[in-house]
Formats: sequence, structure tokens, C-alpha cells
Amino acid sequence: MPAVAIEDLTVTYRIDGRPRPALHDVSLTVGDGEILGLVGESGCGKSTLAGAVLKLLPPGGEVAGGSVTVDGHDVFALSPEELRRFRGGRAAMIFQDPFTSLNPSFTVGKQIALVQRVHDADSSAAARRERALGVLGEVGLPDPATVLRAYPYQLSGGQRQRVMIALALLLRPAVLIADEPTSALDVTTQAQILALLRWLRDEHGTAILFVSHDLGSVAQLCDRVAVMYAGRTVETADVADLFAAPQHPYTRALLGAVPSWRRRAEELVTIPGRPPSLTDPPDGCAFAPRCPHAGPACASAPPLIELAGRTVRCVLPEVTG
Amino acid sequence: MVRYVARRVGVAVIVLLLVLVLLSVLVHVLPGDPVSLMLGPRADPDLIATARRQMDLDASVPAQVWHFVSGVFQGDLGQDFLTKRPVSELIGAALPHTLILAVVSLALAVAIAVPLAVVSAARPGSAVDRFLGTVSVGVISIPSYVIGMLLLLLATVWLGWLPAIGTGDLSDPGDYLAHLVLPALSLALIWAGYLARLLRSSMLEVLGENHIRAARAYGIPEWRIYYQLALRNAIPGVVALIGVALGDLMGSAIFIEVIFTRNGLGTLLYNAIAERDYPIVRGGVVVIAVLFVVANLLADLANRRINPRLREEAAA
Amino acid sequence: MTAVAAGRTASAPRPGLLRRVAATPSGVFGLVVVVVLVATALLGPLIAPHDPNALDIDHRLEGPSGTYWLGTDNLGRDLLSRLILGARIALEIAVPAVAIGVLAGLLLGLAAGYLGGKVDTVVVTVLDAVQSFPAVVLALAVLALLGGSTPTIVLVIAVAFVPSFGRVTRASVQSVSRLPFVDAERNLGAGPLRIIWRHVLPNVVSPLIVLTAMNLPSAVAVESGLAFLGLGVQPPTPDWGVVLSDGFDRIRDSPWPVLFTCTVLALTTLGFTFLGERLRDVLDVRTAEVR
Repeated sequence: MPAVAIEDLTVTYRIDGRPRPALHDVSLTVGDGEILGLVGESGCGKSTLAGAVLKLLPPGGEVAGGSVTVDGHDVFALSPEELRRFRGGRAAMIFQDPFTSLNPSFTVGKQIALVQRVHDADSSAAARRERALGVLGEVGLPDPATVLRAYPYQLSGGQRQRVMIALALLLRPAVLIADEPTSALDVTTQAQILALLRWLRDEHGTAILFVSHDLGSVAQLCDRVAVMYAGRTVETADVADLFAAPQHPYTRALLGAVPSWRRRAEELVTIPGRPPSLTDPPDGCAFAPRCPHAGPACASAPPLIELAGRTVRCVLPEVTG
Repeated sequence: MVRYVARRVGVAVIVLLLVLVLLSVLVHVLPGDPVSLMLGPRADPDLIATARRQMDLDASVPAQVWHFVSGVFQGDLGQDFLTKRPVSELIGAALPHTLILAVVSLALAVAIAVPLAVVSAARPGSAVDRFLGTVSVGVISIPSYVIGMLLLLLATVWLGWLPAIGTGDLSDPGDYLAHLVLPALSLALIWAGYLARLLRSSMLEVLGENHIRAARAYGIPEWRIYYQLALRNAIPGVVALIGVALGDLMGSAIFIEVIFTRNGLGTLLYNAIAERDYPIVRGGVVVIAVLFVVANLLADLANRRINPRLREEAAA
Repeated sequence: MTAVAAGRTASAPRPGLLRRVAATPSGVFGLVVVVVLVATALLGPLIAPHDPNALDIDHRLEGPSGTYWLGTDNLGRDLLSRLILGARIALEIAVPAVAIGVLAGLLLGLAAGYLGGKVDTVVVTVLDAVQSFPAVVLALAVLALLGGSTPTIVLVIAVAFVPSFGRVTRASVQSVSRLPFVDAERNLGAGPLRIIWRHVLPNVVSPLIVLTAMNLPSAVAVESGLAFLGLGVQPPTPDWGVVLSDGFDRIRDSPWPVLFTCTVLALTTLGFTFLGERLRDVLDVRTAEVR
């Protein structure tokens, strides 16, 4: 049974009173103990998808169809109380900006204690403190006791991110949703956090949904990758396969756009055009306006095709073979 | 931090000094004569002369200013011309009642404002929010004495509740409390209007921040998110803006005292004005100015202390 | 003529303003109140059914009746007539007070924003001091000690409003000054007056309109409050505060004077406030709470 199974998920946002789809019939799975990367441009819906796993949508966001099953539980069918215990308990999330994701008015210790108290009211204060120190140590913080007493502003970005991961791990969730956890950090700290995430999977078997726009991190960390564009998945594959031989025109363009210091003399490659806006979705393939191979067949929305071990949303013969 | 406190206190002292000097000087700058206002235009010339001497109005302006200001620092606020009692004594007797009213009203106001602000911030734009918004705009724009008066009418004339007149005796707590309920409730409603509005916008700002979203992701229940996590972060925003409303808030306290015939600084001042008792008015105004400046200072310092953002900037 | 780049504080009033203001219930309410108030103030003696100062001791403290529509006060004077005259007095004090506040604030704000440097520092410090100063307390003292002639009252109230107008103006000036095309005009030789006239003033008109609408009820409230306390306008002049005070003294005998005066005061302040808020929405003023 996969850790996370997303089926035909459609999420809309209410803009100017009308619901606009941000996710169209998205289907994904994250296997037990697997790290799935989710990549795409800003606005492609990856953060919406990440939040949807915990049924955490911004104001105006609604689930318009589909389901999310985590560890066998249908997330959208949970009662509010069950949902509350589910969040943090069975699945947890860490966010992009460690500088604003911790409550600035409470010490780390208080924030950890609060999460503990909310999920396990019976444990004693001493047991909780033990556990808190333990988790902080696990995520690589060298002086957990001091960190417990500290306010977030007294910690560095990397330390704060580790605290967030600790908070997410407190209850040993089966699934961790990481929404661009390293985007706000410097390269060295990034590497450390990535190592920490890999350790999580290796040591505890936690399945991870790793959302990022940084292809380098994804290549380092993930087992499989899903590429999103305009609210749909356009390609999923094992990480090695994807980077070695991208099939979908968008994936190819993305990988081609990554600057490489081996090709320094060349110009920076960009994908011409812009992604479609939420309020004006195109008929047919969403990428067609920017696709170098677009043809008449692209005027109707392409289905997801399964090729050897991967899926691609494209109808072009060059792609589908 | 200590240096900041010292600096702010220093500024406060200077402001107070300016108030004192201005008060003493104003008598000479603007038309009108306090003595003839007090005694009437046809008073006996000898009486007028005595009064002027008593109130130190014959000395030169700088001398008067000096006498008054130095007197204040020694706790001498002059003497009530009509009863010869020291002004400081009269004020000393009245002030505790005012402070009790203020503290109780503040507690009630907070108890009223917080839940209302949370309800409004939880569902911005909803019917409840808009209704509460209109009510608080009403409370803020309608003069406090109007609200107090209407409440007085409502409670006593039409419903016959609770003794509305007087203060009751402190030695009999039950009686005192009975007399305190109506004025405290009225003042609390007025103050709650300001508080709820300030708190609502502060809460809305905080609720949009990332750590609130993160708290939901950890499974923290909604009530804790509002009352524990968001509120704590919303308070500095309110405290920072309280200073602007402070004048209104103090003014409303004075009016409520007068309307409910409650002993206190406000009523003392009101009666002194009616009797043109210049020394009491002057002394009362000085005390109110001190209270005002102190309250502003406290709000400023409190804000500094509890605002995590300021601490963060200091650490950076 | 509206400033184009980011940094404009409001849009200049466009035609059809009235219609847009009246689009919401609160806007309509505000407009109606203001119109009725101004009309009452202007027509005062013409529409008052009785002489507001005429005594009728035999019928004092009576409730509403055929002769005296809102009843009588403690000396038998017609309440309705007194309240009608009170409207005129309220506006006679509030309008000049706010007007002086606007003017002084405008000048100070222009000076501070445009001249910058030391002038700016001085003006800001003074405005800050006045705003955080217990000005109302001082007003109390002044009027208590020296009696309340109308000019004194007007001035004292005006002082309290100068800081808010000053700040708004200064903010407008600063935001406009920084716009590239204004800079360009300056380089081409446009003098300060021209720039102020063509660019600053249109930008500042809207916030000032809103602030005026918001400060007028404050002025009325303060002025009536002072009269209630026995400062400000003196009896027998039928200032609303005076009528309220008279009514309060005899509240046990007749609640009507207090009730009607409170209603009138509440409607007036609410009306202006709602109008101000609606204007703020329509004119898109975002910096109404400039600190």
C-alpha cells in the first residue's frame, strides 16, 4: 500500500467570486519509504498539492474532486477532530521559510511542548522534555537544551529549519511533506538538510514528498520525480531516467534551462512565453503555446500516457514513440 | 534596554515640565482673570486682593512659574481657596476611586473585546464581522458621554437596576461593588469598542503569517491557534496604537465618573470647574497630565518588551 | 492628472462621486445626516417652532406633546427649538476649528515635505509632541481658567487636529516628490509652487477630504463635551452640550431632554463618520492612519 495515494485531485481557488482550478485531476503516489520529488515553475500548483495532502488550503481554496489517501486513510473523509490528530501525527509538513514559520513569541521549548500536549495529553512534562531533547538531537542540533530555551530569533536559518523538522518528527509520522525546505537557505546548509531528510527515510522509513524548484536537490535526494505544469502532472519517472532522458517537451526545456558551468560561454536558455493564468485556462494542452513541437493534435487536452516505467502527458509521436 | 528606558523617562519628565510651565504661564497670556471668574465681577476688592495673594498671582510670571513647579516636586499642588485644604489631599482622596474604576473597566473591556475580536478575525467579511465592525465604529465615533448617558437611562430610569448615584463606601466592599458595576460596565463597553477594533486588525495581520499555517499543519486546534498563538502576537500591534487613543480613553473615564456621580478625579475636576476653583483645576490637570504621560510611557515600554520583532531587530 | 507610479496616496475625486458614495446604506445614511444637519444649521431660526430661549415654567420637564414636539427642558423651553439652534452652534464651532486645522496642517505638511531637512525635522517633532501631548487636558485647563469665548474654543480644538492633517499632507508631498516625472519637471525649471499646484495638491485632496469628514464629528463631540462640563459655550446658549447638561441635572424628573439630545449627537457623529468611511473607500485612500 503506498504511503500517499492522490487520485484525480482537483482543487479550485475562488477568484472574483468564481472557482478557478489550480489542480486538474492530479494523480500521484508516494510509495512506502520512497522520496518523491515534485518540480515545476512557480504557480504550477505544487505547493497547493503539498498542502492538499494535509487538507491545508489557503482561504478561498476548495477541493472540487478526487481523493487523497495517506497510510490507508481517506484524508477528506476525516472528521475535524480526526483531521487535527492526523496532521502532525500521521503526516507532517515542513515549510519553505524557516524565518517566518516558527512563532516568534514563544520559545522553541514551548512550541514543541504545545504540539506534544495537543497530541498526547497524558504524557508527563518530564517525559515530554526527554523526548523533545531527543528529537532535537536527532535532527543534528548540537546543544538541544539551549535550543529549547531559545526564541526563534536567536537561532540561525539552518537551526530553525532543523527545529521545524524536529517538530514534524515529534510524533513519528509515516509521511513528511517538505514544501521547498531548502529554498531559503545557503548552499552548505541546504546540503545538510538534504542529508537529514535522507537519513529520515533510511533510518525511520518515512515517505517524503519533496517539493522543489531546484532540480539539483531533487536529483540528489529523490527516488522518483513528478513534473508539474499548469496544475497537471506532465511527466513522472525514476530520477535517473528523467534526468538522463526527459520525454515531455516541458521537462526537456526545464532541464535545458538549468545553467551548467560546463557550458559557460552559452547564453542563458529560457522557455519563451509564460505559464497560463488561473483565470484564463487554455483548451487543449496547456504547454502547447510554448512547445517547439506543438501540432494540431495538441488542441485537445492530452491524456496521461504510460511508457516503460514512466508516465507522460503528451500526444506527440516523438514523445510517445 | 536600560538606556532606552532612561531616555524615555527623561523625555516624559521634560514633557511634564513643559505642561507645568505652560499651565502657569497661560494665565497671563490669554484674556480672562481667574480670580474675577471665581469670585464674580462685583466681589469685594479686599477679597480679590487676598485671593490674588493666596494664589500667588501678584508675583512676576517667572516667579509664579518657579513657585508652582518647585512646589509640585515637593508634592504641594497649592491650596483650595474655598476650603483651605491642600489640593494634594483632595486629589489623594479622589484618585484611588478613579484608579479602581480604570483597572476594573480595563479588565472588563479586555474580557469583552478579545472574544469579539477573535470572532471577527476568524471570519473577516462575514455578517457577524460587519455587524461588530459597525457597532465598534459607533462606539468610537459617538461621544463617550452620550453612550454613558444612554446606559444610565437604560439601567436606572427604565429598568430600575442598581444604585447609579454615588460611589459607596470602600469599607463595605459589597456596597462599593454594587456602585461600581454600572460605571465600570459603561466604561468597559466604550473601551472595548477601541480595543476590539485594534485587536481585530492586528489579529488579521498575524493570522496571515506563516507560523499560523504551520501550527495548523501540526494539528493545533483552532481555539488554541486564535487564543494562544495568534493573540500573543497580536498584542504588540494593539499596544503600539493605544497611545493614540489614550486621550479619548482618559476623557471617557472622566465623563463616566461625572455621569454616574462617582467620586474620583473626574468629578473633582468637574465640580472645581463649576466653582471656578482655580487651584484644584490646576492641580487636577497636572495630575491628569502626569497620568497621561506615564500611561503613554508604560505602553511604549511594554510594547518594546513584548514585541518579538523589535527584539529580533535588536539582536540582528 | 492622478499620479501614475506607485506612491500615490489616493485618487483625485472623479465625477460621479456622489453616486458612488450613495451606493451603500452607510453612505446614504451619512449623506442624509450631513444634509439634514447643514440645512438645519442654515435655516435654524426659520424652522424652529418656538423661541429657544422662551421660558414656560408651567410646562417645564414635560414629555413630547402637541405644542412641544420633543417636550420641554427644566425651564420650560422647547427642546426641539433648542436642538435645532444647537445644530448651528455645533457647526459654527466645529467647521472653523477643522478648517483652521486643515489649513495649518496643510501649510506645515507642505513645508515639511517640500523643504525637507531641518524644517522637516522640526515640524515632525512639533506635530509628534502635540499629538502625544495631552492637548485636550490643556484645553480643559485653558478654558477652565479663562472662560470660553468662541474664538478660544475654536482655536483650542483646531490645535488638536493639526497633527493629523499635517502628517497626511507631508506623506503626500513626499510620495509625489519622488516620482520621476515630477523630478523631471523640477529639472526643467518648474518652481515649487507649480509643482505643488499641479501635482501635490490633487494627490492630497482626497486624504484631506476623508480626514475632514472623520474629524468633524470629533470636533462636535469635543465641543459638546466641553460645554457639558461647563467649559466652552455657556448657558443659556442652546449648545447641545449645554442642553445635555441641563437635562442631566434633572434626569430623574424627565428623561426626555437627555434622550433626545443624545440621539441627535449620536446621529450626527455617526453620520459624519459613516460618510467619511464611505469616502475613504470610494476615493481609495490607504493612508488614513499615517503615523
